[in-house]
Amino acid sequence: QNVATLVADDVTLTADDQLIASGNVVAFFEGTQLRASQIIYDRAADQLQITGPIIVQDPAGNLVTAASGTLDPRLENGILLGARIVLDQQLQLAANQIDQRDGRYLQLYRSTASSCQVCGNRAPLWEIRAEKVTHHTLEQQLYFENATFLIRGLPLFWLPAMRLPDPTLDRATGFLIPRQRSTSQLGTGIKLPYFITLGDHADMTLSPYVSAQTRTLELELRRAFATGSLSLRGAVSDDTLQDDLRSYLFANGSFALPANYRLAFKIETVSDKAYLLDYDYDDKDRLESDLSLLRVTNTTLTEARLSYFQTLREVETNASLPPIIGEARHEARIQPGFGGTLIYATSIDTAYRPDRTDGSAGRDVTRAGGRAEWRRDWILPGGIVATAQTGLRGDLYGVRDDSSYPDSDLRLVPSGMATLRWPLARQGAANHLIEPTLTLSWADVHGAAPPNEDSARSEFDPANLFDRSRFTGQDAVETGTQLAAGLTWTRAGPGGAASSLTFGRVFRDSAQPDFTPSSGLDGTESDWLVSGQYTTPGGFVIEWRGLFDDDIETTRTDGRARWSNERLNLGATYIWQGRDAAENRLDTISEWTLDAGFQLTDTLRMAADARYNVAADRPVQAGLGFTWQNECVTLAVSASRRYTASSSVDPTTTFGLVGSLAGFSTGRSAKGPAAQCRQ
Amino acid sequence: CGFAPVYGEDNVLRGQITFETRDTVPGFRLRERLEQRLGVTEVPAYVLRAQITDRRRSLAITTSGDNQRFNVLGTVTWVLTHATTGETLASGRHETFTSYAATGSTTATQAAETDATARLSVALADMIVSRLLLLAPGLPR
Amino acid sequence: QTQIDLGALVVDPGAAIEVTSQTLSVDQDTGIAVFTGDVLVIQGDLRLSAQRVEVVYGSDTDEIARLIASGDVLLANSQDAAEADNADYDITTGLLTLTGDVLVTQGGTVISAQNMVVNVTDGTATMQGRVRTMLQQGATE
Repeated sequence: QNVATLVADDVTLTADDQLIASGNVVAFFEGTQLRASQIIYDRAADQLQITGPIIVQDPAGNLVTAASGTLDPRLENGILLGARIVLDQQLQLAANQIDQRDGRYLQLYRSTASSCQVCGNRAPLWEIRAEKVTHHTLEQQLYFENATFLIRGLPLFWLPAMRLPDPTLDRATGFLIPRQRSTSQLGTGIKLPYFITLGDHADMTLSPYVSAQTRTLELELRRAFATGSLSLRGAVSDDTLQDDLRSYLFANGSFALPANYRLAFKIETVSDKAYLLDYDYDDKDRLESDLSLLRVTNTTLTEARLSYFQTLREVETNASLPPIIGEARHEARIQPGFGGTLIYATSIDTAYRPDRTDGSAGRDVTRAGGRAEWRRDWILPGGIVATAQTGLRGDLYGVRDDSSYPDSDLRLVPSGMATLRWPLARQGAANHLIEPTLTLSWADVHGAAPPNEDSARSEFDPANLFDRSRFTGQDAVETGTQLAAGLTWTRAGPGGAASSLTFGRVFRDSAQPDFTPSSGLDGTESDWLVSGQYTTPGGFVIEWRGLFDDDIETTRTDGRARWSNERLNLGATYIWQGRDAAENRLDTISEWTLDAGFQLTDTLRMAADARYNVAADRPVQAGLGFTWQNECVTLAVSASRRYTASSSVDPTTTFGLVGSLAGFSTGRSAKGPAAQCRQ
Repeated sequence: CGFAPVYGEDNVLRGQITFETRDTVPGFRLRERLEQRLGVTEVPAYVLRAQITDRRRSLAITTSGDNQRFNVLGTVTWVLTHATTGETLASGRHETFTSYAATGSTTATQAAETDATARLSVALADMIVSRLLLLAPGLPR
Repeated sequence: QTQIDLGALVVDPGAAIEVTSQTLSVDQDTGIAVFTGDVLVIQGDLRLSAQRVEVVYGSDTDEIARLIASGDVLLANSQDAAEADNADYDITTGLLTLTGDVLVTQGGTVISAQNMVVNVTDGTATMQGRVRTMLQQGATE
């Protein structure tokens, strides 16, 4: 049988069958270690009488200190007097007597529990005094009986019984920290989340949210599988804002299938357009549910996706979005024997509008097509990288419910492109790289032009400056002869700072009607594209991009900046874009957003965010929050206002308050810095 | 003015790098662009491991709450190691953004989002290539 | 069955001492007798065995004053035993001092130390020097 071991400076065996160990006495038993100044082992009673100061450390790392006590030789059963337990270096429980049962139970009598720093004899920030506390080490639970919660020694509330998980517990069914939430529309309410573990691989959180204006039940479900996972969140509400029941459901899951395929699905549905904003569940204005199958290897991409859309925008109706879009595509790259790289791709996509009216509101379009593209590079003398490309694309279109287009129509597009890129570098304290590039391309269309569904919103930026066709989809193709010229200058500074600047412009023999004016690619000469970025190793980034026409009128400009280090993170974005009826945008866009987080003091953190619509000279949204966190309490206060106003949504102001005690696994967040005792 | 062609005497790095990217669509586009710019692997002297993360931010929100634009913000972290010794030769982190309009039909918006994500991979790949061309002279053979 | 316990080793120091061994040599002028070879000293309930025991007689009387044992010293009674490298039993003071890797087994309890002093008059035994005690599991088992 296993035995406890005592090590001491000296041991005396007395006549009446006692073994007295004294001087730096340490007792070991199965991972538990007990230090004391003296231990008397009474063999007849088979008991250790221990005189303190006693320090017991159990295998889980919990510490018990006591003034004196008696324990059995297995250090499992017995009584410790004037004891204090420290669980997971966070939660301290002091008691004038602790009974230890079979190494599993600790019963503390007249005990106080707190995870706050105790300075001198000043009452800790919060404590729980209980007549009896039972710490069940296997269940990792703390059972309080006749407990009083005090703040700075002032009793706040009394509970006959209370159960809280000890800090080492990760998952247990039970109440989570309640959240107070008051909004201008739903009044002051409280959310009381209840967490339920469903086995090792799933859990569910039910949160009733009750206020004067609403009775809501929120649900969150998570399930992990061997090859994937599923998560679902939703809510059902009966409130005064609308007569009938309101609800939403967001679910998504993804699963790994054999042969490297991955199946994923997403469901997003809501009962009415304003529900998500009224309850701040999400700020989407279009919901997309889809089922997709994807396989990616080093050289192939295979994807199939079926999407269903539901719009929450005032001006749109679901029937002509189009709500249902299906697409399937396979793309591959190979290196043929004769050199270069051959890319071939086949794809089919279809868009269905239940609306039957003739024309764009009810049109259904199906396309099946393929493309092949061969490219090859040469290094010319002088270090010029030359690339030749030839391509052919063929698409068969089927159009229904739109008499202005033939029912079916074949389109072929042969194309060719030559690119010259001449990278020049200068090494020194700072390294510079200049990459001037010139492309000459040509494409021709045979067959009628299909309706332009998927290429109606194209962009012009450094990434597609030298593409042969910059349209986002297949329905529109850049044709005729065009020349694109540009230059990218990159500088890597000695200290790790880096900057880059790109200029570019496209010249073509014939304007492309499918480019909208605000895309910067309309007409025979595109806008000037200018784009720059500067970053420092210290965490500062500023990036800016602009499109200017010939008399330096801005078509669009957007930029962002971010600076983050341990005490501060600042982020700002700005965008200006001109009015453009072709892009269904009747007002100029001019909006800046700002979000900032400051660590004001060791315990106080401030976070603010704002979004301002300069064109309409109205704020869109603003929020401010303070988080006060020390070693034992986290308190978060937040206020935010959303100015969105439409026929179904009103501006809303929301205040939130949530507090949690560190030291219990429910309240366990990243522990804040321990406050120093002020002498 | 001190500038010399990068591909002066030898075809620096071309065909000498094995690319390792993740099995995602952005990873696929990143690898495609890296192969276009630095050549398909022939004699692997180096291994380049690159990983992209991206996230969407809505932008230009109308007074009635419609999102008119989205920014796709992306970050790529990469490590270049010697193919045989496995020694790390260089590493880096770059970030940039592309954006797309969401005022069109669902077809137009979905295609614009897919194209913006692909352009982000291209932009990040080009940033890696520019940095590698600057570091090339210092790399051991 | 009374449990005679090392801790309760009580012996009358005046009791007769019987010493047996394979060989004995006596030095007339110093009065020292040296027993060697499986030496066994018996005094009441006390049994002390060793390879070599030196008996020192009192200067004025022919009573034994001290026993100095060395080599596989074993001090035992019916249930417990104490081994050591050497022992010094001072009859006049009743103190028996064991030194050098002292190992005491008492019922199941095993105690190891550098030295141990047994007071045969009151039955106490004290050990010094990082004493290690293996407590034996009691009846509660």
